[in-house]
Amino acid sequence: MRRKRFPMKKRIAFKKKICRFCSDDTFSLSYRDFNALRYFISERGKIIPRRISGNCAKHQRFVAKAIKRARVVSIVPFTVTSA
Amino acid sequence: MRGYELCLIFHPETSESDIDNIINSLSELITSHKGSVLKTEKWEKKNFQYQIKKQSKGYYCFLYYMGNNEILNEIERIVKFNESVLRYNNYSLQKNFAFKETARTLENKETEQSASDKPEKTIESTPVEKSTDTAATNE
Repeated sequence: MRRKRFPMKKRIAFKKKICRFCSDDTFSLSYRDFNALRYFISERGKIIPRRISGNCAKHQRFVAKAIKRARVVSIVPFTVTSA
Repeated sequence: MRGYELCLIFHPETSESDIDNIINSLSELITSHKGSVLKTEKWEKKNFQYQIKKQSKGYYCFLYYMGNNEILNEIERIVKFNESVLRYNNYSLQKNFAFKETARTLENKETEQSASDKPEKTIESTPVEKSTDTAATNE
C-alpha cells in the first residue's frame, strides 16, 4: 500500500537569505584571516552549507576554497574534538 | 609575469634576523630574475590549530611578488631545504582577484601589471555577433 502524501506538508519557513558578499562590496575574505572565516565554520570545524550560510554559489565556492587553504596552513582546524 | 603569494611558516625558535635574511635572499632572487616584490608581511608568533612537525607555534610570513616559472622553481629550491621553514605554499593571485581582500593588501602596484596579463572574460563579444546574424536574417 502506498502512503498518500498530504498536499500541505509541515515545513519550517526558510527565510530568504541574502549573500553577504554580493550585497556588501567591502566584505571579502582571504584564507589568512580567521576572524572572518569562523562565521562559515561549524563548531566541529566543518564548512557550513550554503543553505544555512546564505551565500550564493559563486561565493560559497570561494569560501570553501579559502577554508581549505587555511586548514593547510593551520589557521583553521581540520576537526575539533570536544575536549 | 604573474602575481603570486608565498606563505611561509617558520620554526618558533628562529630569530628575527634569520627570518629577515631568508626573506631578503628571496626578494633578491626575485629581482635578479626580472621579477618584482610587491609586499612582505610578517606576523607575530601564532599558535597553530594542529601541530606542524611537533611544534605548536610559529611565525607566519607572506611575500607577494610578480614572477614566472624560473622564479617559482628557484624559490622552492631555497625554501624546501631550509630547516627553519616548516611549511611553504605558493598561490596565484589572478584567481583570487574576485576576493577584494587580496587586492586591498596590494596597493595598486600590481593592477597596472596584471591588467595586461590577466585573461579577461568579456561577454561583450557575443551580442555583436547576434546582431549581425539577426540583421542578415531580416534582410
